[in-house]
Amino acid sequence: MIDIHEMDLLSSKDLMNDQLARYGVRFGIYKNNVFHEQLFPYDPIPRVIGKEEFDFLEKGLQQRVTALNTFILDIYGKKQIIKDGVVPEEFVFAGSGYLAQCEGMTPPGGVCSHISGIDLVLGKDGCWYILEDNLRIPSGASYPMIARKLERRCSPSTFRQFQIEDNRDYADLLRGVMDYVSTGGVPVILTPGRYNAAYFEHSYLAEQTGAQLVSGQDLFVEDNCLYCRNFDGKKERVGVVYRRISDDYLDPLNFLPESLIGVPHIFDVFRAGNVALMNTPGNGVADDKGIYYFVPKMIRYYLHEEPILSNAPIFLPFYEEDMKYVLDHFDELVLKDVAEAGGYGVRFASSMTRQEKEDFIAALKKEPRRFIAQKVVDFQDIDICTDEGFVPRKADLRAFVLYGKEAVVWKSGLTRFTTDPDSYIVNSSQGGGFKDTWVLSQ
Amino acid sequence: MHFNYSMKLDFDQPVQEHHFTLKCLPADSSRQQICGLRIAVDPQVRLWQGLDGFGNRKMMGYLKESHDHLQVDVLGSAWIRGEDDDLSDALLMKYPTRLTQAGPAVREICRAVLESGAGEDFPRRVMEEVYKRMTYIPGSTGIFTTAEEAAQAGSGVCQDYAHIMLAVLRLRSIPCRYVCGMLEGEGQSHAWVEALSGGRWAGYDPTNCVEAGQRHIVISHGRDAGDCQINQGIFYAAGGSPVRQQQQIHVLVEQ
Repeated sequence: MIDIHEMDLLSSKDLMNDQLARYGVRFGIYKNNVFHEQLFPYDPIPRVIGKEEFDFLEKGLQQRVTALNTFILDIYGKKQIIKDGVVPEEFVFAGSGYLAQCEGMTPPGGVCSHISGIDLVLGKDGCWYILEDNLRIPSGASYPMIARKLERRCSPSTFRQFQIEDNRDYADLLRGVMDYVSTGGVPVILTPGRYNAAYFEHSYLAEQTGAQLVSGQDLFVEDNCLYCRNFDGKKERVGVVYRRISDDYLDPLNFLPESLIGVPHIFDVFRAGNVALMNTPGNGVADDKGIYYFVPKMIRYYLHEEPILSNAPIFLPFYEEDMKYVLDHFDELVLKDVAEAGGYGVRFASSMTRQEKEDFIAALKKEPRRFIAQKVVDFQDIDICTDEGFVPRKADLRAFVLYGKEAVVWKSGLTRFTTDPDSYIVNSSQGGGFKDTWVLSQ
Repeated sequence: MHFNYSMKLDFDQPVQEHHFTLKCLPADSSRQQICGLRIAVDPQVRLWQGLDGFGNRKMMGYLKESHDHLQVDVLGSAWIRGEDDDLSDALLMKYPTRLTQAGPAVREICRAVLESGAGEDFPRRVMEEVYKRMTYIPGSTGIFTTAEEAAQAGSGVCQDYAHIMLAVLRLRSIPCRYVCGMLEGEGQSHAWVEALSGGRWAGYDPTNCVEAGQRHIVISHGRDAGDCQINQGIFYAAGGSPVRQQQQIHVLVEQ
């Protein structure tokens, strides 16, 4: 096998980025309440995962998502895991991810987390660590999908030299899940509109899956059923909604009343069992940064198996002994506010000023439930191509698990890297770029 | 007991594309049995029904055409058979909500009850303390008034009495819930509290300082008044000015 640093694809970096720009591959961010759209820089050196290594990841991710899905059903149902004392109830009911509106719901097919984006890093010790579970509306699969398509076009020879699992099946996997949970009727992808950070992805996935791309005003509810208004004015029954609108804004009569982008009564149709919502509302109860601590316990509790993949070492100041550890080892830790997402609210104790430290510790003591502390995982760099040659940068991996009849791990993923040599935060909302993720087939 | 529940919404200008949810249908439970339910809605529109996360009954509908009012009448009979023993939502009723978050005034009530010493029945003593301290003044509070604000003001309506009582009970981690319903002899809709005690939900009416029993018909329950809103709706007005709406409720309950 040839060295990846010498492959033909590397000469196509600029061509690739031009092509991606032409296809509209961008994401939007809000800065000071003004919407900016920017390109998502692509780097041609892929993350390469060997077959055996991926088989291991696959088993671990299937296990994790299966347990998380069971947890969500349990919490909004019998609550056995709380009654058995495995997860303390205050972490569930006092958390912002728990939605009482979802109590007693029975999602079609028993699936809550249809699309899970699990963030991992490869430590310098060679072990993979889970950083975060994203079970609400994880985005990002479209970037490696379209990148692969363009890579094959820009440099066909590269794909003769390496045996790589094709990742262009994502749309089929997604459509398979939609059809599996559908209650009968057309599939749609519900977008908040073109000013959403991930609008490119919404439109691309609609095109690739053959589902209709709709916004709130295209859908309406009548007699506990959901319908779509067609271009010719006729109405069509909807059986499954892959919604890219967050829970809060999904339905003004069940969640935030001020939402203008949602569909009134859509949640009631779901409760009546007449439409599938992907992902199910209320999933936030399982991907809360505080609940993360309990995922290995969930795996043992529900599946009677040992967790295959490890969490990054984590401490909950909520527990007295953990609080003591956090205060004693404060400078070595990353602190996260459980209510924040997208790389916001992540603080490295080592980079705080003295005053900031004091303020933070005061806040920590006042509301211990609000924070988690993690050890900084020293994770491996991947080279990126720059004008000065190859330079190493921190990179993580978002793996996608699609859950219909069973949990299937997509043989690819989104690898994000930071352009800042000193930063550990790899999130597209915080700058940085992406790479394709190659899973070798042999 | 026969009841006649009537809710009328008046808009000061015509509205259209009106999606609404009404929570004003009493449900059967181990506490009460409902018979002969009749529902009338004006303007006439097709209604459909569902259940919310607490098992409360919802009526939903959509009025596309222009209208300036929405009225619903619910008639039926209720037999009170005992107390509700469905404990499926008990766990989540222990935690304060935004409306039932304790502050200094609520803590003071809690402290006073604890210091009054003896007595097994803590919820009952909280009810008595709230009743003693509060003055019933209609219009002194609004639907978004919190327990703490009402306790500080020392006045309010049944919703505020109930919220204060919930806030105190939740300080002590006692599962308790807000109840919206009808009371014989009271012309408006009413609110009270249920607290978990001995495997059943015991009713306490702090506005009247009585246990909620034979004269109380439950319509809905939840963590606070927000879960029991009788009417929710969104609509558009043809004119540019903001729409003002007025809600009137008439309740008649008789033996």
